[in-house]
Amino acid sequence: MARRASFVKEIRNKYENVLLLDAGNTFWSDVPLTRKTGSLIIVEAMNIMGYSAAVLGEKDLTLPKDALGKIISTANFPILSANVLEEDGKPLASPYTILEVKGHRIAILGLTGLPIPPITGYRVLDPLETGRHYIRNLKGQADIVIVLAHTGGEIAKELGDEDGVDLVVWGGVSGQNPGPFWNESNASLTIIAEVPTPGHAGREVGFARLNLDSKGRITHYEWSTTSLTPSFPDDPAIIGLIQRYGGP
Amino acid sequence: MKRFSLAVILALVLTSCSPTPLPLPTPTFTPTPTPQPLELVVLHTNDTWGYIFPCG
Repeated sequence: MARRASFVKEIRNKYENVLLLDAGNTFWSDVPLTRKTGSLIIVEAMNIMGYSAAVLGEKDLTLPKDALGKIISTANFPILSANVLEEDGKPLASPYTILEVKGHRIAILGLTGLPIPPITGYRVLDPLETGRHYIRNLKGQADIVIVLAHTGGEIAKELGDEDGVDLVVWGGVSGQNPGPFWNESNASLTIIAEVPTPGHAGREVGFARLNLDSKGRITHYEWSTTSLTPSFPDDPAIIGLIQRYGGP
Repeated sequence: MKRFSLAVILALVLTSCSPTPLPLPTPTFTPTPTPQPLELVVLHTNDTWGYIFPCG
């Protein structure tokens, strides 16, 4: 997190319009310090970094309900999920958010993957069907539609095929090449920062530089991932946060 | 008296029809900002699994 914060600062110093997004399974953890804080250390670090939005992954739904509620209320950024409902049918989190950047309205829709095995306490709707429903409605409200999906690669790619979608940022297990996928037919880009494997967590940050025309269509893109090697300095604000929670 | 009343009515009618311009609101034109081409950088992370320090 401390190296990630340095990298984010570096990018913000270089570029004017930067969105920082998280595609899920970020709060669930088997790290003792994170568990001890109810994952608040993670959400507070994301607040320091100035995240624009995050989506809940299915592992995040296995956190105790009160802990998840506290995470959502502590975040200074929207934590999204359009397809996770409480048992009474109320949405657990905001389905989407709309940001404005230089006159462009950017909708960010959150979709959570189906938990396997199914979990109790929530109703998780089909992410593809729910996604299609929201995308149809968001097309009229925004000129750029980003889907933030912790759904795995196959569903992410199908979401990228939808008319009106410009960018899919996804997380989860991939059954296919995790590199960027450019869909020529609707000019949409589908990207993932890193594929989860044992020992991978927090290692990579994805970087997409997009040129959009006045109607919000991607005309050019560059994409890469950066490994957070020790060459990135630790950000003092994150180190301070870690120490406040009793970390090294 | 009748003649005086008619004169008053006539004066009122003439005054109300006078060419004094009404204070029309000045139109203010606020152009709708047309979005320009945009360079947008999207940084993205996923599956952090609560890791505070990078691993792997």
